[in-house]
Amino acid sequence: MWVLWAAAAQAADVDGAVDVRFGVRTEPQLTVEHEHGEVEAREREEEEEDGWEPSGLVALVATGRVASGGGWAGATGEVWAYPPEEHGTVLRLAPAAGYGAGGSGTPRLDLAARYALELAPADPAVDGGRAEATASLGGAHLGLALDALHHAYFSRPTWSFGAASLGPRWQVDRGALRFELRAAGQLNAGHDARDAPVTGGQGRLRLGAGLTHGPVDLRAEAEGIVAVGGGAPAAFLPPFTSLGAYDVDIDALSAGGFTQVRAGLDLVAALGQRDAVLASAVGRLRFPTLPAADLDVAHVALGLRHDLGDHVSVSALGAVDAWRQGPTRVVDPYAWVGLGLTR
Amino acid sequence: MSWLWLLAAARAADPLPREVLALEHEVATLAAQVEAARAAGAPRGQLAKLMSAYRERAEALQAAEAPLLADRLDAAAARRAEATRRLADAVAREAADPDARAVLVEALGPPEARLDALQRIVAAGSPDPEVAAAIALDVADQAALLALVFDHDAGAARAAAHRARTRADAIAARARAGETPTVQDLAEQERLRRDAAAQDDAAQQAAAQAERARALRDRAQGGG
Repeated sequence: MWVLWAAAAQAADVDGAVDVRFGVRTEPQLTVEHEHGEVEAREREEEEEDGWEPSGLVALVATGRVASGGGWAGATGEVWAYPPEEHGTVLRLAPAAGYGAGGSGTPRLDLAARYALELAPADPAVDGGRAEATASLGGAHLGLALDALHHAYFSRPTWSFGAASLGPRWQVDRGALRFELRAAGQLNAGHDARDAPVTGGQGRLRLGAGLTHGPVDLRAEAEGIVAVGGGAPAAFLPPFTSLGAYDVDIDALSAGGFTQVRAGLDLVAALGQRDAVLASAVGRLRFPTLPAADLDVAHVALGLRHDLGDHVSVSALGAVDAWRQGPTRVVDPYAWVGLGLTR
Repeated sequence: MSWLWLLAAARAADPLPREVLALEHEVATLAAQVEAARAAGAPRGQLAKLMSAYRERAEALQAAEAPLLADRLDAAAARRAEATRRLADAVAREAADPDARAVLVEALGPPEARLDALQRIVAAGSPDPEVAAAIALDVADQAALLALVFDHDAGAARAAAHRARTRADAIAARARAGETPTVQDLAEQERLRRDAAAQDDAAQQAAAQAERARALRDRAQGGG
């Protein structure tokens, strides 16, 4: 195995990273898909028994990647646990591969696909696999993008859903500044609250802007979605991943119809030779047809990284996830410190 | 007849003052020094010092040239002189100035083809010493401008490679901070890495062409 890895490293562009994180989180069980009303009931029980119960956070994340010519392949393996809380623990293995060609005045083609196997020992209902693929073709300014995803739940097939979107994009780079405009039509398929198959459609318009100057990369985007059809989803999809970030899957159901606006801001900036700061903010407002699709979301995070050497770094991140659904309001602050190794 | 022949003729008839010629040489040398220091990863303080020296001499040159250019050159030639100054400034800042580049390329033609043509002219030479001297003067002028264009291209490509790498690294940094990258992010990250590698190659090729142009300029100046 190591001989193969060494041979690959000689012949191609190879890198990888391992990160260990320790921290605290307040509502880890809210990152797990569940039947409607299930978590609220559990929350009420906990409040009656002990009140608010924060938990620890332990995570091990390993990534590897190899690229040669226009092709590349990689994989991420993750374990997230929230001791002593059982709910929310997740094991995730996600191999990915892709190919790119063209550029510099010639048409450009980019293909990528990823499959993520997710297992939750304490919540077997959410065990599943998520497959996604993207293809884009175009020139320096105009192009066409096709995206598709399917999330299959092994023991709850009616929770499974899929989406496919197709649309043009226009982008312009002006040195440090860049702008992008994307439009897409999307078809969604899933099951409603009575487990009947439903399909829906979406029209999406996304405006993005970015600034890369020296060691600073700043990007901002706003996306509007008009969804029609579908039905109240069979399961509650949490708006945040087990890692705490906004989960784009929650936009992949038409959910009976809604109008949604989401805006985000991301900053990564190096401070000197060894330090970097990361900041992000996401806000989403949804105006639904059905109460089950009502879900406003906010997320802010601030992280710092300090390189101890060429391959070792320490990092820290503090974040707050918040969402509102009807009268339910949840705020989930969390923080972690980490040690990372890179190659 | 190109504008450089006219400029060469004007200079031959009524050469620019020695101090202006010395300033031109000094400014080009300082711009190249700033670019070389930046390419070598010199500390920010050293770059600022070099930039300051460059700017001070560039402004002095502009002030010295302005009345002379106004007197001697037509509007098109003045536009080219202004483009030359702007391109030298862009080289020093490792920035792109496509408009200034376009003005010079309009006058010179495609840079690689013009460099090849100049090399053939120098190799062919002339038995008439006066013609040989005139050719050497014009070749040296054009080769110096071509070196500036290639230095600009190399700097712009290096800056584009740096931006692409910064963006790709930012996607990786966000992932390590807990954001699960989408498959579109992964495709974008790989595209940016390929772009960075392609721009690195383009920068190396442009830098090699700039060296070739400088060697031709020195050879022409030696021959003239």
